[in-house]
Amino acid sequence: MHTLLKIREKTNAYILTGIALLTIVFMFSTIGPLVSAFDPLLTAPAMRLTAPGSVHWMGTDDVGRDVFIRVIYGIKISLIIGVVVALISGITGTIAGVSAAYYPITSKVIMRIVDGIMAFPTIILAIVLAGILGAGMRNIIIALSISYFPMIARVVRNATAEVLATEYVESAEVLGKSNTYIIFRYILPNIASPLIVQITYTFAMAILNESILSFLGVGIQIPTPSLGGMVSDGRNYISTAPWIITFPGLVISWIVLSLDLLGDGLREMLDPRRRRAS
Amino acid sequence: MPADFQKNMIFPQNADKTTEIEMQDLLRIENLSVVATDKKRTTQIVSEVSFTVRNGETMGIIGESGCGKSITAMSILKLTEPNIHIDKGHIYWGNICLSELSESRLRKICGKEIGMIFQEPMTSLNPVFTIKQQLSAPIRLHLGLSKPDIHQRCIRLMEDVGIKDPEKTLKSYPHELSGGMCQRVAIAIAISCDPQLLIADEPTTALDVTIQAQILGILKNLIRTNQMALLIISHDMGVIASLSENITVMYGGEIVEQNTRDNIIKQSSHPYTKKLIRSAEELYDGADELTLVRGNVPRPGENRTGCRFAPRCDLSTQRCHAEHPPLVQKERGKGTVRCWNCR
Amino acid sequence: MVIIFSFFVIHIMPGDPVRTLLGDRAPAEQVASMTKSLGLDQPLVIQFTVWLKNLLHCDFGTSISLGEPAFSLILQRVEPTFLLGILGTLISVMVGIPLGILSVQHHGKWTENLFTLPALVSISVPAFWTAILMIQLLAVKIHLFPVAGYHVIAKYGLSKALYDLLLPGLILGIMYCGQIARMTKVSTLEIMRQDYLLTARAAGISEGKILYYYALKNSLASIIVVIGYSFASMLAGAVVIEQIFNIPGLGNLTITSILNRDYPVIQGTLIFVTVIFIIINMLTDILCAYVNPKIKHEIE
Repeated sequence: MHTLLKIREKTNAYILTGIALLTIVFMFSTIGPLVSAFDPLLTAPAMRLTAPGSVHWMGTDDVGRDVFIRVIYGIKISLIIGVVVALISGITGTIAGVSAAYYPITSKVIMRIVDGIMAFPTIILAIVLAGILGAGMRNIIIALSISYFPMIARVVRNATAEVLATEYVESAEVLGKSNTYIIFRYILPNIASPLIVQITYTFAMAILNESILSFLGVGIQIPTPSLGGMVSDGRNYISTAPWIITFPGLVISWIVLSLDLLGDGLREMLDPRRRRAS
Repeated sequence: MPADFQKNMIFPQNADKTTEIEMQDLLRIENLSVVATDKKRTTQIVSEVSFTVRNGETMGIIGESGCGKSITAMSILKLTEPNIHIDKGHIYWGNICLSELSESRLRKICGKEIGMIFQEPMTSLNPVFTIKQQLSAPIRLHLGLSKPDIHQRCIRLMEDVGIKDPEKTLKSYPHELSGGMCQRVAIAIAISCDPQLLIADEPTTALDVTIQAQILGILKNLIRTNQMALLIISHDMGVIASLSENITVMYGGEIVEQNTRDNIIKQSSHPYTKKLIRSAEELYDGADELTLVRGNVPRPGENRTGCRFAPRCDLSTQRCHAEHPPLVQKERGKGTVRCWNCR
Repeated sequence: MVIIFSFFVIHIMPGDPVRTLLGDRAPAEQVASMTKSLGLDQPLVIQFTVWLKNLLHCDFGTSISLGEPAFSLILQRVEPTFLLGILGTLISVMVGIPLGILSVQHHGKWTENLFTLPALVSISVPAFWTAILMIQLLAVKIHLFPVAGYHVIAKYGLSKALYDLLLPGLILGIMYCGQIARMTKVSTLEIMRQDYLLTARAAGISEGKILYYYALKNSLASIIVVIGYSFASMLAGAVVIEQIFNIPGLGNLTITSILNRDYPVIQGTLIFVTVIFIIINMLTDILCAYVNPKIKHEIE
């Protein structure tokens, strides 16, 4: 584990910036509901399309809902979807990838499925799945997890195959260690780096694609606030009330950028080839 | 490899040649110190290395992995990674100071006056170019020959390095050749412009023993016929002894002993050199029990006080652990040595 | 060999739409009939030929909502999407590859961030949002581009069609240039560490020539893969962009048919896009083998 602590300075900057940006978003979404007096679903036609000010910090939308509190709830939903998708596809992908590398027969079946799913462009697959399953948070999570698990499975399969080919695993096999022992003792710690990086990227992509799905109307359904849905709603009012679409868009970019920074930083830090000169 | 390498050594240079050509300093390294810089700290990898390679002479640097010998060789042509650079000292090529030369002028010397070959023949050739493209690039660049002349020269070079079917080999890609063939090609590239000095960084380490002998034979032949100086780096005493007239022994980033080959082999002083020679002899003679040099090479940056070899030395005294010995002229005979106990 | 291999890896393709399209709730007969209509009950090889034959006969069924054959619907929509994809690929390659190479050249210095941060931002910012903002700024406010819509080449000529697609193409290009920059950087950096460049340096080849000729020729294969991949992702990214710019392309068709539950069309577009994907993959494989003899050797 000590390699994980060997943080190079430049890498540090990426990771730290990513974490700092994420923390701000997180704080924002936890503190937001406490300081705002508004309800994300409460319409107030009299207050519609109010510009940002001291009452409505980010203005109101076309039916008079407070944009700030809706953004806050949108962040929450985005983050939840991102985390759950990253976890589900991470776990299923790891199980599929390790077993594919380990057992040749399973490998054929699993990699067929993985290749099959990957032959579809991810976003189209997610849109079709979400369209078929129907909108709603649970279905989005399922659709995105199905779309992303093959990528993780592939990364894990390749990493595991690499570890399996090493001499220390061979010698463990010769010593008669059980597969479970080898998987937990050697394989998982050694594939952790690429896996963590890939999961971070999946997290980012899940959030980005959730916003696309919601934007297209196959994601989170109105009136539940979602960042992508808000951009879609605000489209028609862009010339009169640009704030409705500006803030959610900025927030999506912010979250995805911080996750990508984190992913890049982690990749640079954990990449064994970059470490050799130190 | 001959069973008794001491007796079967072939002298790479004819004795009469040295009288014909005036012995002049070709490559002179003075107090070279190389450091690796991290964002946070600098680590000394090579400290105060000095040696001279004269015209037509062969010099071997020997030492275990990680003792700084490759870094020394790489810094001559500034081929080290960007975070490793020369801290102190100078490298002179004739009258030119290589260490202060601009990148573009240095590149003009590389390949033309100094050729270099590396350890891994399979990875040292570019996979997307044919052998001919790679071999003719330096010829065209440095000598500016016409197309037929370049082809002629390529053929001749291939024959020089003992490749049987030059026309066919020239058309092939590196992945179609064996490791030994690749190393021959790498040598051909290095000598393509008749350099005065060839630097060979562990040229045989990655090869099978039989191929090793062939490559050594080719190198020997080339330095004799082309009257080329050779700087060979290896951890194998057999390789070094069969090719070099002078030997520099490095340990922990510094020179511990420097002498002619005969003196090193017959009357080496430094305990480390002795151990290296003993292990090589035992290997070739097939001794029942092998003498081991206990322990490992010190990592750069660790143990700065005392002799670097002291922790692994059988003869170390208190002084060895406390004070760092200087490199001094031996009291009896030629050569220099860095040891408190043997002068 | 490559061709056969890719077909058989993808053979699972026709199976997936059935399951994903019909879902768990679908009655067994429906699954069975669809399975049968797609010939999934047949052995692999026959399945493959039937699938291919259907494809050649353009037999995807008839659109439920529009009453037209799905395949002809798809064909009508191909033109803008392809044009958009080509335009987007060109822009993203022209921006992304130099961005990647420049960040390699500045690797390890602070200036590297000048080239990596734009790439990161391009990956992170949602395209639909940029698209809406750009329309507002460049089309509504200053009338530099048309707001939306598309003029078919056959009726209005290529230049008019291209003019319509310029802004969407630009946005698509910006959206994907980050990925191209990233992959160019990673593959070139990897190659810059290789021993054979050391040999080239030791032979006196200049640093610039090494980066732009020796290293680039080695990373060409990966860059071709990237370009092929990005063209394929463009087709996917077009889904969103076409929706916003109201371009009657494949993506637009996909969304409409999903919202209308128009299964034959969804299925048709899926298979169509997948076939395009496979073709692009094959083309990139062939090109890669052509530029890198080692890859060719490994395939053979």
